[in-house]
Amino acid sequence: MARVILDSLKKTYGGNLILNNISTVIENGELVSLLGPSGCGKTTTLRCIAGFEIPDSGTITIGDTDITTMLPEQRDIGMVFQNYALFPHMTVFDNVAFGLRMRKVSREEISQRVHHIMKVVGLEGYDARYPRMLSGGQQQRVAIARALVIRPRLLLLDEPLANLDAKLREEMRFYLKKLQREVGITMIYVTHDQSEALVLSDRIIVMFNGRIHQCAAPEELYRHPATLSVANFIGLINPFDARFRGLENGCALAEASCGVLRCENFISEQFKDMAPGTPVKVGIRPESLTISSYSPEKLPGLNIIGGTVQEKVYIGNMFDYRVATPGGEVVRVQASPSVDIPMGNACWISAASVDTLLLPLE
Amino acid sequence: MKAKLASLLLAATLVVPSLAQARETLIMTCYGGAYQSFFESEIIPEFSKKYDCDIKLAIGLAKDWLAEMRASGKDNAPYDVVMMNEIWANQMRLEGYFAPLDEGKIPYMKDAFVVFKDKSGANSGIIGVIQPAGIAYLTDKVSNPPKSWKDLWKPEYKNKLGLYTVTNSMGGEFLLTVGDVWFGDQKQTSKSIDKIRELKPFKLSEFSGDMEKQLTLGEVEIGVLDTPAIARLKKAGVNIGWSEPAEHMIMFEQVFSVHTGSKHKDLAQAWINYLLSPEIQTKFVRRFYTTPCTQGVEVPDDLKEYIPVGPDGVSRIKVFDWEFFNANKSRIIREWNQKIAR
Amino acid sequence: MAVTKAQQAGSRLLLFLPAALWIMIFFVLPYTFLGYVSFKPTSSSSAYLPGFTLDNYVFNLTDSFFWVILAETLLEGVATVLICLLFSYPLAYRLARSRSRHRSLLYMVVISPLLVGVVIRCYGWMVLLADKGLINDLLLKTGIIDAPLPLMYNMFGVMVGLVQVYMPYMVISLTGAIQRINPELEYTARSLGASRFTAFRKITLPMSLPGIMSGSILVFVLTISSYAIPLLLGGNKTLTTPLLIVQTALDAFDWPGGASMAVIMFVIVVTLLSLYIKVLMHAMRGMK
Repeated sequence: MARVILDSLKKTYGGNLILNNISTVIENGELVSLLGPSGCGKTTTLRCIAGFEIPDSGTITIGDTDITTMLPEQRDIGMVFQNYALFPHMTVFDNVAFGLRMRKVSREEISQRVHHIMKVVGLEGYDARYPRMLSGGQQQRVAIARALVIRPRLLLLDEPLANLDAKLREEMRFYLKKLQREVGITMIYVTHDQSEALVLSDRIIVMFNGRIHQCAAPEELYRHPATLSVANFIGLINPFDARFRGLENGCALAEASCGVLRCENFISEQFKDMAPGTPVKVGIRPESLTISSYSPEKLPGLNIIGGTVQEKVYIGNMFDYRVATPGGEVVRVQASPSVDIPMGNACWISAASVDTLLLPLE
Repeated sequence: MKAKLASLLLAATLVVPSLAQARETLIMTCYGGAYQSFFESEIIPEFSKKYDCDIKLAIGLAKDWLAEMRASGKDNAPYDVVMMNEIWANQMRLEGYFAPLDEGKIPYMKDAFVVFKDKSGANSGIIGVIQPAGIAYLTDKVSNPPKSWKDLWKPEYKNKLGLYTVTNSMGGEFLLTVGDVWFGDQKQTSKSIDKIRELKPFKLSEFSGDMEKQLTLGEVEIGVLDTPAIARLKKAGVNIGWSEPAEHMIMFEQVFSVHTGSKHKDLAQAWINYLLSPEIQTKFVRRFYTTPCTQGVEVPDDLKEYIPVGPDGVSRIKVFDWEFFNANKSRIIREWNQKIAR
Repeated sequence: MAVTKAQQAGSRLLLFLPAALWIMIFFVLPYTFLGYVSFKPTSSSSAYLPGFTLDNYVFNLTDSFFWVILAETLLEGVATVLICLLFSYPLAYRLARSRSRHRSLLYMVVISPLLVGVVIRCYGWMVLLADKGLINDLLLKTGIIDAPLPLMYNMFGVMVGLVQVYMPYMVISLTGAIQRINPELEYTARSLGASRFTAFRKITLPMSLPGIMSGSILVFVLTISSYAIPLLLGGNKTLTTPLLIVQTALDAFDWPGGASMAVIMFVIVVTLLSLYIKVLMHAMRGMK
């Protein structure tokens, strides 16, 4: 088993840069998601790892082997697709046995290994059926069994749950996670569904427009997003245009239209050399904001912004407010229903500086 | 069934205009292309004016006309005047589809070189167009051309020959010719087919147009063609020569007959008489380089170069026993297929 | 206004009517007539005689020449199908998998031969394949050969014509079938250790069987019933069953004989094709 290293992958299609300097390291036994909107390059990255595409430049190594230009069949990488890609003209057994037959494994061993893996995925006794006789979830488990039975160095999954209904999808997430822990295999998982990535992954690589924006554990990603795009993609964020003022005892100051905001949630590397006056973004998640009909006490660790309630929607366990600031920004606030401010009334919203993000422009 | 429907439709198209215009209409079989346009533009208008009638041409090939006539029966004439090769006309005459021709109504019949009689001995078919045929060769390739049919078997002509398939009338004539010249009997078709087999390899044409094309392209160097075709090719600049075989010539001919079931027999005979007139015969000669079919028509001096066989040569053209050939056609085709077309 | 069930059924029936009529008039009736004629005594002076006879069948079924020609015709059909398959498959594969914007243009190029009549195309081939034709001319002039190759007026010439004329049907059938195969299946096979060729052999090829089936049946049926191509490019030297039937019915004026040949050929071809379909259906049993 081995770690996977992507080093400066570049790929262009007809003049469009699809992969722009993709570098990352995936540790042995990790489940890493490639997350991003469609067209962000996540699938192309996967196809480069699988060998269906060759990057224009850069290298891919597994362990000590450079596999960048190796044929797909020589890579020992399992692959699971969104629509299962089961061979419709073969029985379940023949589907699962396919990779073993390619490896010239003996009949007895094939039978034994296939049956073992079928037990692992919970599909004993389905040998003689044809794929079309199975449900979507069962088909996906066959596809996974087929990929796992060859004991690959790495398992790649391309939106494997996207075709399942919501309930089954949720079940399969936990099933996959459990399976991965049991088998202990390195997995790279492509998805555009952030909640799926959050549930499943040890780490998530977020991609936009062919670039990696951030690579971090799910909680880290949510709490400390590196870019506004990441913050926006994982959860909600209220962005404020601002100018960087400087750092002050581990706290960054940024001047927005609603005043100077204190930010303690930022990646210091991004700002340590930044000149004062540089345009930046300040981000506050709606659930970090508190709303009140009076001005709260001005504490040093609190950013307070005045405004007017423009809209208010009750969404079950909370109110979803939209507050207009004098600077013309509309801020979304999710507050407990115990605070009920009528529409059109003046209000104050506040966020702790530890929850206030400072983000560079992209 | 289909044929009956067709003849009904045909009858309908016949009846309607004749009611409207109250003038007679003759229908004659005719080939498409040059023949059709020649008849329509140079022959029909004058006759039609003189006799106040219409002449319509049923364009097609003998195979179609035969099928149509047989399907309609003797009493329903799909055509009043039938123009076809003797190989086909012979069959229909024997089956009683052609009416006796009256010399009083066709004065030119006595001048015609070839007249066919039906079983009762009555005249019922007159050759109105003669295209004598013999051996054609490329003058730039064949320095010592064959002079007789038997010459074709000379080793020097090996690999140069083009012949007709037996289902073509010229092919049939060639087969009977081989029997005649080698075994003294047209009816020796089995022996003749074996004899033709000795000529292999040769190319086979389905019709004379194909033969002309093969000679023009140089695919074959020696073939069988009629003098009008030679004249046409010469005019087109092909280096082609023709020799009259010592034994006899063969021919493409058109036999004119009147259908037994025709309702316009008088007009039909007047039309045939008109076609045999020196004036029209000369038109044919001038237009197609054919050989005159009646006494008293000569080849114009300016055309002698292109018409090597004059009226005096018609007697050297062989007329074959088509009754025998047609009666044995299935057998002959089968034997041909097995021995030649493989 | 309420529409009764009967009215609904009536209007549904109405939709079938044109096709049913068409098939009745141009397929069922002529074939019935053909079958009818095949049991009539032959006559040289009329299409057929009244009465009923099996003579036509006895004659043809016991005629070794007829069987030889039929066998050759069917073999020619099989050979044409195989050659078409071999030539069409790579083309169809490219066409089906192409993502180029010139794809529709490529498609047009493939089917463009269908826009020119068969006879005209045969004459085109004649210009190329004749002894004094372009190909022989070129080979002779460059000194590669010193006597013209017999490219036409034989089985080779006929096959060239048949393959060229009927290949588009094969390409279209195959392209449709290959397009329906998810390309990920091949990727999956590759990732499981199959080489490009093995992935093709084990996945794409068996999955394109429906296209192979429809294409081969189409080309086979068109080939064995082809008349103009063997006539023109065979130069009266290659006999096929359709030529024999036309010759018997028209040249020898033996309608019952020709009709019985057509019926025998029809029965044999239908039997062979149903066997073929059965075998392929068995091979495709897993697929939808």
